[in-house]
Amino acid sequence: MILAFGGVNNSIVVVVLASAVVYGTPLLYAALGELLAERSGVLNLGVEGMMLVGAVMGFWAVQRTGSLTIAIAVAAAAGAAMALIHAFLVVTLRANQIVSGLALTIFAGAAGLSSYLGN
Amino acid sequence: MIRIERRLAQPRWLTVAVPVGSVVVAFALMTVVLLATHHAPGHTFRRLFDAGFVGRAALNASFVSATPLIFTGLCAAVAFRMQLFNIGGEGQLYVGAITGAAAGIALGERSGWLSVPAMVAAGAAGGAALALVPAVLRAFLSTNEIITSLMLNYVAALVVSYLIFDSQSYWRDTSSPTAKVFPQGKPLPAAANWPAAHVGHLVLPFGLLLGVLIAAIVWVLYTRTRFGFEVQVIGDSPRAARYAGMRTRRKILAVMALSGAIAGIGGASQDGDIRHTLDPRGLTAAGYGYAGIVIAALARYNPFAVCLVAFLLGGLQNAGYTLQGADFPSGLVGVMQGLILFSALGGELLIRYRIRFARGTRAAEARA
Repeated sequence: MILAFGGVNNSIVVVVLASAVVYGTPLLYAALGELLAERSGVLNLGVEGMMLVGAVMGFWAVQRTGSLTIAIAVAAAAGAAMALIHAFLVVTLRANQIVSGLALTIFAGAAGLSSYLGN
Repeated sequence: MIRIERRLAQPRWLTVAVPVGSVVVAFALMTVVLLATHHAPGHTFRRLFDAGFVGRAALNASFVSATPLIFTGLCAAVAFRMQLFNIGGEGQLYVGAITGAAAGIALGERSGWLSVPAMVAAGAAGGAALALVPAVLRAFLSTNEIITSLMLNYVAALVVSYLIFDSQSYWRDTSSPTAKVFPQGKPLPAAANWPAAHVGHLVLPFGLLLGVLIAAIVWVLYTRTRFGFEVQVIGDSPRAARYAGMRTRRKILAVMALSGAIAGIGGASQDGDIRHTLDPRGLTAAGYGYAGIVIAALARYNPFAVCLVAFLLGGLQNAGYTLQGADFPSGLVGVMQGLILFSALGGELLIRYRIRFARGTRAAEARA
């Protein structure tokens, strides 16, 4: 954690604000992603799965290449690939948005693709 | 050129052929995934099938895995039939587990047979109470029940872990020094252990039988009564239902309460059949509620099909637990379930629409 504060700054307010930034960052990405989908009229309950696959692929890329830029690009591409499945089912095949999103979370989530690729 | 047009009638054979075809497609996709990651597909499928469905121990474990999924599947199916998207099965199951455990502990050791029905009733009441929050908001304030019921899942998850990990609540075991250091739920009295039916070598949990019974009741309710008819009309066209004088608000409350009650009984069944204590970690890690929604969709909201699909997915899940280890790719079962769901969702299209191959129309026009 980055909560190593010295002396004066070590007040509860600073700690709370700093951890709010730390814990809020992933939420920010999730919310921004969901916002885009909702604006287009698609409910995306698969954000969880998309983020986890992005995390695994990003980690893999940075291990392989050592470049953060490439890792970010790979993570974004992996998330987009997951989103493409959802989009194909929901937009092209007009499947139920809720079910497809949850299916994506199961497919890609903690017990699925991300842990499969992680090994 | 390929054209997609809506079917006027849905032929009966398609409703069987398409799900079966979807599973076949899912296995084909899975084979590709396995080959791409250097695993032998035939061997892997064989092991999955054996660990899920072959032999006494595997079947018994699959029954245990399927039990909560039947409840959450029915919970979703009941509400989704009316286009009422109750995503809160997860939270309603937790609350049912809390109230069910409370009833079991309160009645204690000497209640005899009374404990089991009391736990079922308490679980149902707890689940229904939580489901009524989004129901009331939807019926009177037209809020989106998807969002409210989803958010209540997190509330319920926090409440259930608070009761065990962060408080000296009624449910927490504080009898011994170790239990004070490592928080855990009070063990339920023996009278609160639900009986299991022994059929030959198979052990059927009471909750499983109860789930199938509830499925039958739901089927009768939705296909043979006026209530069920009105639910379907409201699902198909809320405005038409209002013009016909149906009480839409009341139906929303009733259907959500029914849906929540079923999930709540699932929670009580976790206490009585399987865990014999209030176990927040096990409950929140399992994700029964979300799996239930997917099961309901796969079963096309038919209560009996829900039982069947819950058994198949439960078996797959159980096989995943059993085989977990160095030589078996972890996460495989989730990928597999996901692929089955995707292909089932894609297959839906073939039931509702027909695909026409009109040969070369556009090319012919261009040439002419």
